[in-house]
Amino acid sequence: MRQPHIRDRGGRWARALVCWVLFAATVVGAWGMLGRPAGARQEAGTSARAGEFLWQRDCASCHGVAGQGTRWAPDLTGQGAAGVSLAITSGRMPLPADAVGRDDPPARERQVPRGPVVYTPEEVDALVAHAGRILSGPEVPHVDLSTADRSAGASLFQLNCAACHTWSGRGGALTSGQVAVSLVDATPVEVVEAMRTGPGTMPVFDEATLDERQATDVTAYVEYLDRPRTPLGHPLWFIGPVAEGMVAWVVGLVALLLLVRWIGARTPAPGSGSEDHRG
Amino acid sequence: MVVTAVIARLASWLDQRLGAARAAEAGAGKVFPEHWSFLLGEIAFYAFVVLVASGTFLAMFFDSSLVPITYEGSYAPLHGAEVTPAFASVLDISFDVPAGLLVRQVHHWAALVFVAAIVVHLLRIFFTGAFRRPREVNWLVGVTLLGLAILEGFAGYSLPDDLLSGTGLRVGYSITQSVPVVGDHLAFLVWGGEYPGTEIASRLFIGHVWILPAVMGALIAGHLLLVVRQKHTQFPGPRRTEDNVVGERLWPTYLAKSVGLLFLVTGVMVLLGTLFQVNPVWLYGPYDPAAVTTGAQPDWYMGWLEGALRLTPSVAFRGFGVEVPNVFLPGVLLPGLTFAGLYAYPFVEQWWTGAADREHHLLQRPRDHPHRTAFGVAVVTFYVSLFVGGSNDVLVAQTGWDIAVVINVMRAMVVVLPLVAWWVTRRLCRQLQADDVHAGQVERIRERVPDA
Ligand code: HEC
Ligand code: HEC
Repeated sequence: MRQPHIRDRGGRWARALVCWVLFAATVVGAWGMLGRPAGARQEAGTSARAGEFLWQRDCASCHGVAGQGTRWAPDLTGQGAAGVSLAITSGRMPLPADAVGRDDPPARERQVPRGPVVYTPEEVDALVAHAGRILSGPEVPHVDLSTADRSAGASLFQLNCAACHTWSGRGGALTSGQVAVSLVDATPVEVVEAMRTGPGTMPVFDEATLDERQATDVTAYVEYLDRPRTPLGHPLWFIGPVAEGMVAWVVGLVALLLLVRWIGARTPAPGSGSEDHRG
Repeated sequence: MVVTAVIARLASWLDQRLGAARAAEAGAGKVFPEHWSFLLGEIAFYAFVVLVASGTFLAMFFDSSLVPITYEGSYAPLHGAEVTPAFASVLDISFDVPAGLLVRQVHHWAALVFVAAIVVHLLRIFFTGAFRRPREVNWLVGVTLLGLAILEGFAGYSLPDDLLSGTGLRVGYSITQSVPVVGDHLAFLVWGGEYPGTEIASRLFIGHVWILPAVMGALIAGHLLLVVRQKHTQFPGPRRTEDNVVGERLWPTYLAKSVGLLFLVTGVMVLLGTLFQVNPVWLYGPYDPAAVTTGAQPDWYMGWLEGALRLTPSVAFRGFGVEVPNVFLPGVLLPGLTFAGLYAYPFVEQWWTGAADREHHLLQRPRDHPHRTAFGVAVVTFYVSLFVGGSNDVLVAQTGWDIAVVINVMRAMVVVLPLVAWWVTRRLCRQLQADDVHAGQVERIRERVPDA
């Protein structure tokens, strides 16, 4: 009696378990199909830990556990998720440890060039999410260029950006000794992040200066400048009149000089030649 | 048969009325030296021809108004932007007029090469002493042409009303203002009011397409007539004396060469215009007085002024109760002195060397006049150094050097390099002269001992 009962109970338990498991699987599957909330929340859970881990491992030694800055690296307060996202997607951060330290002038006054990104996309998300939790400052922007107005962006670019980055966005020298870098490699999200956080000596362009629409317009124009129209001839690297002057002399005039040397004589031929007397 | 008869009739008709045959005969018989350096001025002349031809085409489509409109042409990235008709019409030329962009680029390249050719031609005249009596007047005409060519180029650069031309005009405005006492009034007069105003483009346009080309055309005609009248100089050589010119007659040899050169110059300009983009105004964008851009440079022939503006230390000084702004020295005094010096040179040299006041038709080799040659090279070095100074920001952007250091090094270069160039050139001339003497002795020995 007991045995079958138990066996019977055991069978019922097993059936119930199977049902529950199937039910749970259905629910999770449906949730998963309906959208990401569950997945995202779950990822956020692991990524929060991953983000914190990465921050402690790669950033805290220089910027501090809370991003408050140290002797070697700037305070990141106000940079927010956007600032950190720009720093790591452009490959500028993390700076190798030997780049700072005892050297003089301190590394924070030097400019870090773009470099290869050292993280996987998941790690980037994790770090950025962590930064968003510990730092005040702008969120990573959502950039949609499909409705942007490029010509409005062109004039905003001229007004706000060309003074440093040059008319072509190819980068220019600043009197501070820094370089306003070329914008060719920056992605649309990075462009908005740069405006919102003002990396290095670049000023911050907040919502009050350039609202979301205008920021998007500028970004659309910056993207256009990556491969602007060059209807006829080599664009001479978008350097402008200096390069053009070089070409005029080194290509144009030199070609003509060679041609006249070819059609003219080098040394007077002794015997030949007509003669004209001066009156 | 019929054709020849008609031509003969026409020729004699013209001859009876104009005496054309005699003039043509005299002209056709004119002798030109063969040396290639005599073609430098011709490069400039044919560049001018290309400029007039391409400029005429452009002028048909250009609109010099500065009253804002909305851009609706086919360059999409500026659709709907507020621009001036001046700017819009240049975009139309570039994107909507058939072959418009090619002609525009040919015109711009021809302008850059035109001034370059004038400079090289001037250097030839200078270093061979071709400016000496009786050719001082033609030197003056030539220097005037150089000045007008630079002005003409600047006017053209200023027409499209893009960010660069506006920036250039603003510099022009502040330079004009910097003239003591009358500066403000002068600037007001030229611009027809406060900068930027709405007048300047149409004034520049009239200057650029009518007044300056007409004056230059007349001066070029005078320049050539004087050459015909005074006959060419020539390098010394066998049969070449102070009393003759040896070379090729205009008809047929020289004319063939010269027409060939016209085709070559045109061809090189068209190639440049096809192969290299120049002045992409659609990227500079319409001029906005509030906007500035780094990398805003003038065309090369203004580069030395730009360099002087950038390198002159910022010191405003007061004299006779008048405040003289910082830009006066590099912006007004320097070009003033440059052209005064150019005009005066032939006379100063004659006075300085106390050379006999007689006519010179044989050219000098640069090495035989170490003083003049060294001085010329030093002056050229000075302007080239200034020119390099005008592109300091481009240099810094390309190399990443420290801009403050670059500026100071360039200031030093402007002072030191000309002195170095002067010293080196003089040594070099002396050395070459010594070599010549040596070579001459060897030659004479050879003549005496035929099998040596
Ligand atoms: C070896 C030291 C070092 C490490 C490690 C490091 N940084 Fe930096 N970081 C710096 C220095 C120095 C600067 C200033 C460089 C500059 O201004 O161009 C900087 C600048 C930044 C900035 C821009 C601050 C501003 O005001 O423009 C951000 C954002 C940033 N770091 C984020 C990070 C993140 C995220 C990490 C970890 C992935 C990290 N950094 C790792 C040294 C470091
Ligand atoms: C005062 C000069 C200045 C102005 C004005 C300025 N920038 Fe910058 N910008 C800089 C400098 C300097 C840097 C490099 C910062 C660094 O070293 O990290 C920079 C960096 C950037 C970057 C990052 C590029 C990269 O490769 O990561 C972007 C994007 C950018 N700027 C866009 C803009 C836009 C868009 C505007 C106009 C709204 C603008 N900037 C105005 C000076 C300026």
